[in-house]
Amino acid sequence: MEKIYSEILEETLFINRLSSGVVCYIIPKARYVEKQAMLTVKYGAADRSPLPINGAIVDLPSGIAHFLEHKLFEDTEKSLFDQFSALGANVNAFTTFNQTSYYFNCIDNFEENLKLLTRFCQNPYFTDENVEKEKGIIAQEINMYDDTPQWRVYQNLNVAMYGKEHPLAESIAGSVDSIYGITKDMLYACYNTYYTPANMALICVGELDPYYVSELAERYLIPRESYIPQISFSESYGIHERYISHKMPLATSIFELGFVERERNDPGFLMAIGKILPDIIAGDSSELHAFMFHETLIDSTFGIDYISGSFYGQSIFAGYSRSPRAVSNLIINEIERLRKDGINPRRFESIRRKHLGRLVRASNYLDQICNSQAELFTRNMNFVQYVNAFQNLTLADAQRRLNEHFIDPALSVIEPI
Amino acid sequence: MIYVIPHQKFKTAVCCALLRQPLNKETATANAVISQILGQGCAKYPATTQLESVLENLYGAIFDCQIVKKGEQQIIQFYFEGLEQLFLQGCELINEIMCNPLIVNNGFSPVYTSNGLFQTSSGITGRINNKGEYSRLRCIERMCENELFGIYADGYLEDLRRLNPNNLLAHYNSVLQTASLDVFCICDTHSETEIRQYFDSNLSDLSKTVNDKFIPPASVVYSEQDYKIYSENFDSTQGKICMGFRCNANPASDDFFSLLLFNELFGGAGASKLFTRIREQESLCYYINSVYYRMKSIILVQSGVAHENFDKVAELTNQVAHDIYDGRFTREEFESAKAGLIKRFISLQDYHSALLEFYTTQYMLGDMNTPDDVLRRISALTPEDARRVPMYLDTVFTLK
Repeated sequence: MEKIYSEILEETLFINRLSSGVVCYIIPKARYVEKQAMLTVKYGAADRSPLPINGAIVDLPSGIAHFLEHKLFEDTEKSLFDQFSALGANVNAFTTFNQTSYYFNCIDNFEENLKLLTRFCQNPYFTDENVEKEKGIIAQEINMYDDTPQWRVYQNLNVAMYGKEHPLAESIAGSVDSIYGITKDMLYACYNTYYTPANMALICVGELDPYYVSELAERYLIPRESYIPQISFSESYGIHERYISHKMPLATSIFELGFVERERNDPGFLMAIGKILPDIIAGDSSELHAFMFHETLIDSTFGIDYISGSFYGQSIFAGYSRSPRAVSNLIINEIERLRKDGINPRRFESIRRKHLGRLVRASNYLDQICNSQAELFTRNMNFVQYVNAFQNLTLADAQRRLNEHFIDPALSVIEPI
Repeated sequence: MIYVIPHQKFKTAVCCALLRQPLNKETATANAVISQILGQGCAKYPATTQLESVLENLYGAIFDCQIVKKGEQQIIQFYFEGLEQLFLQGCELINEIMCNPLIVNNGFSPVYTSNGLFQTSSGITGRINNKGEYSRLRCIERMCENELFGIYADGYLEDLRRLNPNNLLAHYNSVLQTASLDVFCICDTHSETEIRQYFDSNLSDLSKTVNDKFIPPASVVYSEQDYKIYSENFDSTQGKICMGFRCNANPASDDFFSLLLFNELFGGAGASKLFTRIREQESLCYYINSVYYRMKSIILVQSGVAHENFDKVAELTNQVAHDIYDGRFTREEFESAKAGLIKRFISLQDYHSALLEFYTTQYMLGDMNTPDDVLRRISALTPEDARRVPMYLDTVFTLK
């Protein structure tokens, strides 16, 4: 078992590759009463390669990974929610473009809960009837997202950035139409292809003995052969549309201005610099932010982020605004100015310091550690490497990335009806 | 009152000051704007980006000033969270922000004021951007039309017009005189006595303002009648429904434990009866949950459903409430609910936010029970306790 210490976080990470192929990450947290375990699979909404079903190669409807996540909570005997509840645990799951994660949170019965989590994740039980029944529930979930402006504006941004045919341009949950085409056989095909030990990690956080947890994981996670198809879609680095708009019942327009990631190597570096640069450009302490705020161009909903997965990345500036185009132009001009005048070294340090402090703060919370390690697993990284990436950044990196990354902007806007 | 919650595990410490007043329609908007003004800076850090730069250099410490509605109180909350060793600097910052605002010609800074007015109006008009939250707010507004709880703590558009830097400052000065000010700290390195001394000798402005004036508890309205239905039309794909139940309860008595149990069985947990009945059995929704507002003795149920199913979901929800009240739940469901509650109250200690919520509520209700006391009471609950407090469905609000 590998043991890595982070001086900044004052946390130790234990990593063990189990004989089944599952990577097990354990982060002991002294004096915490809760314990959390997450089983994560490198399989998400963007994995849509056609698969063989009953002798034919079949295209899979959008939303199938998310549907599978819902249906894995099906048991022959009784509701899994009730079984976890009887063990004093909460259980839940989520699907992203790259991963599907299942987790529980408990105080007692850690072993029993882990046994239950690993059991249901390794024993799918799909019937025509239980698949049909889920469609009404997921249709309501999709309708909920459709009414959420933040989801719509982001999905449209992806259409503008990558084009309609790209897996990122589809909603993670699919559409009401697409999910009605999902069958039991498709779910089994996806499960058997992707839910293999070589594609999974188990992350455990809490006051736990890493050797004991590792032993449990070894016992409960069963080896299985696998062939995992590579994601096959053409990568395109250009923007498809510069501007995309839509209407919804809103008080003011909502917008997302995005810049597409063109690099693939060194994900730790890309994520760390990705978090810092938008903050330098338009973060809370920037002159630009103060100006836009005072001109009533942005309000407290304005936010910035760098979102990434194993095959994509994007810097995003977002919020409600009476004039998204004006905000967009101001941000683009500010990037241009920083290219010319250079980034103030003191400001670079100060923002880096802020992000390091926020990482320390996040390590107060078991769920944040768990989520972050699960996401990093899809990039073949651990959180100590992630924290170190922030420390290794230089001003020259930041200056270079201004030129290389912030090139083609795409603006997605949803206007009030 | 200065209250210190010790801990031994977090890497960050919290200082949270609460300026509490009874909700009042006349002054709600002014208070909301003031919270937006104060959060921008102070006499010591007047320039617009200065406060944010200070926080950045304190390793990304978090500071915000916002309005919180708790029961029938409107609270201006000052919250600092930063690395443990920066705790005293956080207290100082709150002292500066709260007691030494940036003043220009006997008023708040005109720049901060115009920003604050815009932010407040933007928050108010933006309520409709979140359909679920909008439905919750409208349900409360209609249900508690003639009670203080029906007042919007983030203000009213029509009241913004008459506010200016001078009358806002005058109002703030009177708030500092009349409001109750309590400071809650979550901190490892300093004892309550040390913190009190530090406040007395270094933060005299804040220290002399600290007082715990009596604020009457929220009214409990209970007169069973047929529920009222309100609906609004939007061009939404999914309908939202919010249902308000009234409970005949005293929040600082044993009623609290009964309602905790009732709500856990009802819709307060992942595997509650509403989830099982309406989602798992009927496939009518993706989410449905109930929240118990202890300070006001009401329970709100929220869900997103197809427009044509509003009536069905309202009826089923009411039915589930009656089922529990009539004792139609299994021993297993009861034991799960109890285990869920025990877990929740043990887990408090792992979260800053949960600790703050627990201790501030206990303090405001004059309830002396500690988390351990609460756990003892929960452990002693019997199935009969879920049926002790009478309740009825008062209001259904739907958004199409």
